[in-house]
Amino acid sequence: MGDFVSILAALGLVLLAAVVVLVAHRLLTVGTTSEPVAPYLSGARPTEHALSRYHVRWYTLTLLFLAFDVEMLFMYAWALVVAEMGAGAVVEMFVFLGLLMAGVVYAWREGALRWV
Amino acid sequence: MTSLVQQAPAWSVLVAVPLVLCAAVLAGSLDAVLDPRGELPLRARLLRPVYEASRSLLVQRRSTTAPDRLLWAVGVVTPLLVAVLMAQVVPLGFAVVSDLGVGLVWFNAMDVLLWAGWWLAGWGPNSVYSLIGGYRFLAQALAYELPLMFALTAPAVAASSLSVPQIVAAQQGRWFIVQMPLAAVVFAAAVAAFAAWGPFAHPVGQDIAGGLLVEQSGPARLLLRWGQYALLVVGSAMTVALFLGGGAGPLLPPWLWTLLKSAAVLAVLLAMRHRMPVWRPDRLMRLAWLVVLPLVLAQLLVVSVLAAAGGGS
Amino acid sequence: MGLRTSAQRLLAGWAARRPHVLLVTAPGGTAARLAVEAQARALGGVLTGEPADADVLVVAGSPDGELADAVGVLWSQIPAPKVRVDVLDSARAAALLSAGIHRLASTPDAGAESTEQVEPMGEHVHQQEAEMGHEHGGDGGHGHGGHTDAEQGGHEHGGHDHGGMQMPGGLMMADRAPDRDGLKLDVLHVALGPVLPAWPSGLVIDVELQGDVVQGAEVRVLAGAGDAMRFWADGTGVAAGRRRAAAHLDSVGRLLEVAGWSGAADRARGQRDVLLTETGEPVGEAREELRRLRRRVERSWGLRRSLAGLGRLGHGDVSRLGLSGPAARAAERGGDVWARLQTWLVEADLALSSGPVAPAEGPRGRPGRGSDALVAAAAHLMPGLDLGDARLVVASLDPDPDDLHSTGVAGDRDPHSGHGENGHHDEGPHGMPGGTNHQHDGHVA
Repeated sequence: MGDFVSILAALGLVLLAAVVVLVAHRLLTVGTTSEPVAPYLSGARPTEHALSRYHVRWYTLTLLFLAFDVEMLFMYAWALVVAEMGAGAVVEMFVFLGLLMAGVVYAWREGALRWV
Repeated sequence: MTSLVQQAPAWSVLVAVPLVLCAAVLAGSLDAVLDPRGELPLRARLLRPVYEASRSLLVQRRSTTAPDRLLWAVGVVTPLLVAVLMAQVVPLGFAVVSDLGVGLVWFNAMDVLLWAGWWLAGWGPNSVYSLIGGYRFLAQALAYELPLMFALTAPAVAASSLSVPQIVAAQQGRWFIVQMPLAAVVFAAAVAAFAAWGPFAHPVGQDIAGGLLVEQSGPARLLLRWGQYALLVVGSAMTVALFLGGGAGPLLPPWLWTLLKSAAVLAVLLAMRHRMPVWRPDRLMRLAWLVVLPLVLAQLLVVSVLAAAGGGS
Repeated sequence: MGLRTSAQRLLAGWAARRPHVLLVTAPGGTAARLAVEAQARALGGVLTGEPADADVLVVAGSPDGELADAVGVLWSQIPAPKVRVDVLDSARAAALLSAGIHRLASTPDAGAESTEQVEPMGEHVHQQEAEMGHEHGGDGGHGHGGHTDAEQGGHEHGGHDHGGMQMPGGLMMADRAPDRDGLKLDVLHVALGPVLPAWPSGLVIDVELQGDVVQGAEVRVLAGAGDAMRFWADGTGVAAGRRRAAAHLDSVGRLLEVAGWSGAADRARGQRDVLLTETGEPVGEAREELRRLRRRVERSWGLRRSLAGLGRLGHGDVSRLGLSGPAARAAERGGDVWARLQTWLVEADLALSSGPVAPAEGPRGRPGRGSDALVAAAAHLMPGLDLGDARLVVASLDPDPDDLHSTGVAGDRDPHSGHGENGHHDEGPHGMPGGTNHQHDGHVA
C-alpha cells in the first residue's frame, strides 16, 4: 500500500514539474499568444484537417502482436516457478511459444510483415 | 540474500523524482558532448540544455488550427511521467523507492503507456507530419515491444522473482549479462526504441520535418525532449539493475556503482544518435519478428533450462 | 516588470548561443545556401526544418511567386522571438547571420514587434538588408491582407477563410478515395516542398496520401528570381573536378540526412565545403578523406538494408525516362537508391583524381536535361511507396532546382501569372512526358 502512495506522490511531483514549466513560460514568454497558425506543410496552407481515418497497413501484425501480448500474462507467473517446477514447465512453455512462432512464420509467408 | 535489499524510507520519493529530472538534464549535456557535428567548445556543449530550455521558456505561445488540446497535453507529459514512474522500481544501489514485488511488470506496464503518449503527442496538433510521426511510433512499437518483454522475462526467470531489487540481489555472484548477453543488448536497444532515439528516431525523423515534434514549441517541446532524456536515463539504470549487477562492485559504495554503470550505458545509447542511420519500420519489423524474436526466445530457453537445472536439483 | 524584462534578456542571450536556423533556398541561391550552412555551424547553431522550433529564418537568394508565399507562411508559423535574414550575396552571409542572431539576443521583448517591422505591408524589408533595397513584391493569390489588422504585439495569421465552410478552423475534413486494395479510405493532399529539410528547395511534389502511403504524385517546379545560375556547372580542369566532387557530396549529404544519419551527412557537407573553398588543399588529402567517408557509409549494414532494392531504375527506365549522369550510370550497380549513393561517392573520388567522369555533362547529367529527367523519374517511382521511402527516392535522384529553372522547364518567370499552375509550356519537350512542368503519374491501381 505504501508503495502505491509513493507512486502517487511521484505522479504528483511530475505534474508539478510540468506546471512549474508552464508557469515559468507564462511569466517569461514574449509577446501575446498568437492566433492559431496553420500546421506545417512545407510552406503551403492546409485545405483539410490532418486528423483523419489513417490507414495503417500493418494492422494484420497487430493481431499477431496481441497473441503474444496475451501470452505475456502467463509468462510472468511462469517465470516465478520455473526453477521450482523444473523441466516440465520449460517444455510446456516453449512448446506453446513454438506454436506462436509458427504463427509468425505463417504470417510472414502470407506477407503480413511486408506492407508497403 | 534479500537482506541486501532495502526499502527506502517514504520520503525518498522526494529525492528520487528530482534526481531523475536532474539526471535527464545532465543527459542532455552528455548528448551535446557526444554530438559528432561541428567544432564547439566544451562549455557550449555542456550548457546546451540551458540554451534549449531558455528558448522554450521564452517563445510566444503557439497553437495550430483546430488542435485536440486535451489529448495533445496528455501526450506531451506522458514520456516524462512514464520515465519517473518507471524510476520508482529501479534500485539505486540496493535501495528502491517502491519495491512493488512485481516491479518488472510495473516497468513493462509503464513502457506500454508510451504507445499512447507518443501517439497522442502526434495526434494533438492536427498536422499531417505530426500524425504520421505518431503512427510511425506505433509501427515501431509493434517491432520492439515483444523482444523487450521477453528480454525482461529472462532475468525474472533466473532470479525467480519479479521484484527488481531481488533480481539485483540474485546477481551478486555473477552478473546476468554473462548468462544472457543477448537479452541485455535487446533490452538496451528497446530502451532507445521507446525513447524514439538514435536508429529508432523514425517517428521524429527529418524526412517528415521532425515528425511528432513538428508542431511542438515552447513548454511542449521542452517536456517532450526532457521526457526523452529521462526515459534514456531510467532505461539505462534499469539495464544496470537487470543485467549488470546493480550496485555490485569493489571499493565504491553501491549507489555510486549504480550511477557509474548507468552513466556508461547511457553514454552508449546517447552516442548512437547521429552515428548510424535510422531504421525504417518495415525493415525493422521483419528484423524484429523473424530474427530478434526467435533469438530472444532461444536466450530465454537457455536461461530457463539453467534455472530449472539449478532449482530442480 | 523590470525583473521580467531582465530575465527575458538573460534567456534570450542564452537561447541565441544555439540559434535554430530555418533555411529557405530560392533558385540561384545555392552559393548563399552553402555559406549560410557553414556559418550556422560555425556560430554553434543548428539547422532545423520545423518552424515551431526555429528562431532565425534565413532566405538564401530571392524568392518570388509561390516560393515567396511559402516563405510568408513559414514566417507566420515561427513563434516570436524571431528574425528574418535575407542573404543574396554569399560573401555577406556571415555578417548578416551574425547580425540577425545578435538582434535575437539583444531584444527579446521586441520579438513580436519585429514581426511587424519585417513585414509591415506585405513587403519584407529587413533592417540589415536596407542598403540593398531588397524587397518583395506583394503577391496575388493569398496576399497578406490578414496582417494589416494585426493586434499590437501579436502576429496574426490570415488565410483561414477558404471556402467559407463552417468547419472547425475553416478546413474541410479529409475526402475519401479508393486505395490499391479497392477500399474507400481517407486521402490527404500534402505538398512536399517547396521547403522541407534536405529537399531540393523550390521543387514541389503534390502527393495524395492514404495513411503514409503515396497514392499519387504530381511534380511542379516553382519559378525563381529569374537570373538563376547553375552553381554546380562552373569551373574547368582541376577546379571542375573539385566542384563536381563537391556537387556529389552535397547530394550525398542530403540523402544521408533523409536516411537519418546526421553525423555522416555533416561530414559530407564539411568535405564539400573544404573542396569548394580551400583550393590549395592537396587533392590526395581530399581523396583520403572522401574514401574514409565512403568506407564508413558502405560498411553500414543498416543503411544498406534501408536503401538496397528501393527505387530501382533499370536500363529500360533509364532510356525511357531519358536519364543521364550518375543516376543513369547507377543502373550498372543495380539502379536502386543504394547504387545511386555509391555512384556519387565513386564518381566524386574519380572527379578528384582525373576530373569529372563525363566532362560534357553536369553533375545531374546532360546540361539542360539532367534534372528534368530526374524529376520525371521521381514522379514515376513515388506512387505506392510510403512517405519515408518516397523521400529517400527523391533524395537519391536529387534534381537541382537551379538546373530546372535555368532550362526554363520551370516556366513561369512572371511572379503574377499564378503559381506555376499556368506555366508556359512553350519551352518544348525536354525528354519529359508531355513536355510540361507537370508530371502526373496517376494513381496506384
